[in-house]
Amino acid sequence: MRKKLLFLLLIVAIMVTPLFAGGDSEKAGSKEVKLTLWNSSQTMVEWYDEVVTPAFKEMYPEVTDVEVLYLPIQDFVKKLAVALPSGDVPDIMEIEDSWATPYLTAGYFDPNTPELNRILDQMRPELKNTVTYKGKTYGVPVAPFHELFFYNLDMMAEAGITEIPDTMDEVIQAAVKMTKRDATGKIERSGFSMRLGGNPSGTSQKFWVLGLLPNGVDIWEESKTQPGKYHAGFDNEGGYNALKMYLEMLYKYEVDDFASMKDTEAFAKERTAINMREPSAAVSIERQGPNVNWVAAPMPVGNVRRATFLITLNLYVPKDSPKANKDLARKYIELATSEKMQDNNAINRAGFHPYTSVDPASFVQDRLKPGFAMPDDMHIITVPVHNAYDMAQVKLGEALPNILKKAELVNDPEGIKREVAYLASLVNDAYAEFDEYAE
Amino acid sequence: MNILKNKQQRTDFIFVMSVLIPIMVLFTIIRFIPILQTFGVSFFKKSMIRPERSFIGFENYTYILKDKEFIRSLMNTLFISFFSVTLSVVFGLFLAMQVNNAIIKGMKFWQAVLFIPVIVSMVPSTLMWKMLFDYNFGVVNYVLNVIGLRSIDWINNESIVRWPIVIVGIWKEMGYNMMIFFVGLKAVPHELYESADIDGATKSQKLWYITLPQIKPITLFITVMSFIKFIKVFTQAFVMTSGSQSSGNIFKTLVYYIYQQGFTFHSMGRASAASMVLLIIVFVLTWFQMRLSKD
Repeated sequence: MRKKLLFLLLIVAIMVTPLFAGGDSEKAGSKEVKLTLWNSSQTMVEWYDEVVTPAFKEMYPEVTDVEVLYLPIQDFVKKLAVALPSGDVPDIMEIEDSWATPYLTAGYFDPNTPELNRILDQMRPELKNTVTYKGKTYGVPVAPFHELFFYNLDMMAEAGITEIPDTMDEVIQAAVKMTKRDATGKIERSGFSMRLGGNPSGTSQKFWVLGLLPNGVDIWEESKTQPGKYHAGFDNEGGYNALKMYLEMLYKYEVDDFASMKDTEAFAKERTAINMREPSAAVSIERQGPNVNWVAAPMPVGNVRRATFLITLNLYVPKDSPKANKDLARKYIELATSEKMQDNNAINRAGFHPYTSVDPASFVQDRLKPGFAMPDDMHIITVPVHNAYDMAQVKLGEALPNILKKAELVNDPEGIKREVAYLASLVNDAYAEFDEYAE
Repeated sequence: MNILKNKQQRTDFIFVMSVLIPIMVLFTIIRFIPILQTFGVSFFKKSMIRPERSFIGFENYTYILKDKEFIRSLMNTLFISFFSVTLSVVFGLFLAMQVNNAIIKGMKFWQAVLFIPVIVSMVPSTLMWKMLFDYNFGVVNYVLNVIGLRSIDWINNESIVRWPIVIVGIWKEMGYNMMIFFVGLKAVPHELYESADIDGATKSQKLWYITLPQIKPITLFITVMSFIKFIKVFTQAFVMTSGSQSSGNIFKTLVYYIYQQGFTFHSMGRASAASMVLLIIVFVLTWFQMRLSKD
């Protein structure tokens, strides 16, 4: 009997112990607070841990830590889809603008307080576009980045090119001169590293900024007859020229192909002469190829205009985050997005300084400065808060590589028109999914 | 006596139920109810991240059956399943026969070595194969160059990348198949081979008329189980075609299609409809196996 009783007590103890073990310090009577922040940008983790959090802890001694949970992008996207609807969320979330859109429009984030809006008001007006929905603002940009070109100066010198190209035609001519092949004709070094695959969103982002925007068109455009409704904006001459340029770079000028090494890795290993990327790629280039002699430059002038995008990582306070920590979470966002911290972000991460009063080029290293100088003719485009936008990007990015594999299209204007119409239909399908926007 | 027998039966019944019910309840909660819910959701327009939903009948099914991407994903999945299953069964049987005949020394060791791929996680395995098939630095292209052939872009072409994906599948599966076949071969009575030897049967005759008929149930089991496994292929196709140096998930499989509908486009209705199609395929295969087993 005694043994049975002891056994029962042991079972009860095992079951009850976890209930007491999990209590947080605040409930135990202490005022200590720990904040949590989820992000998907590895380089930002260091910045939060080493720059923002120490300063925040000094300002608010009751905060023992700000724990940053980094997740690679694929896992982060899955986590967002599960965590936000279930309410199992951290105090702060850092999300890239277009990925946040479905959750923002579904009401998963707190609208900005007047203090956060005051910060937003000091930032470039284009950035407000990425956090505004139905007249209200949600979140504050913490790490905006734009697109620029990286040039290998040694390869340029070797090819006898003395000036950084300013137009897309000049870029292609320079790329032709810098492309190198082996005896079998295989590209050993591409003249220009084209984005021909990888994450579909990224593929369409590059097509957007290199192909569509310089040709004066966009992925979407507002209806002329029904304001507030949208359709694909490139089923026209601009879209035709964009796809034609991509095909010609591959099959007429042959400055790149599908098999050659791509992107920052290729640039750092001197397997490409020109690469288009965001400025933070400079950090990877310096790590992987410390001896590469490079310089950055702004996006060249296309057929119609010069343009770049401004994409941002924004900080949001989830609606279901712990109520007791909400004020501190907002204070953390205020600090991370303050002008002083953004100075530091520009210095350490080559971030695009979001404050209107600051020249974005003023804090970055000399080699990057030319890429931050915004010529007067530069159009800066941001991602709108449209539910359909992400789906449109994914569909476009998935279809594009398969179209670009059709070498025969380069001499087939009607074929190019057909493919542009097909791509546009994918974007229209995406908008049609959301009655709110479809024309 | 009769009462005792009944008592015994009652005790047995209580024991069996007390063991089975918790498992059945667990199975119902984590398997059966979600399947029913998935079936239900497949008739609704339902976003993963919004609470509201509307009944749309078979619209999700008609959408996916008209969707070129779905058909492409299904065809890709069937291709991978067919070749991976066939070749992993053939290689598995071949290896099991070598191990069973102990043709070289240290067969137990080689048996263990051949089983290693089965226990290695799919992601690192696929990354390793991806490096081997890399256009610029891969060993496969190096070997091709050495024998005077041109490099092949294995990863960036939808019609070519399917073969590396099949190879990863065979490499992972054949060790498991070998073990099962090995057990089956051990159970074949020796007398049959001795009689065949007396009758002067050749090796291939023994294989065709003794070994294969004797291990038919095991072959059937392996084939169907492998097919069910490969019809759900995802990781190797996803990892092989992901990353900035790759062509961006050009080789879409059925599970990837479901994943994309659910997690990227947040369309739970379509993801559920596609899941039900997958379920039907698996059901048909299971029925097929049971039917053949009866025969």
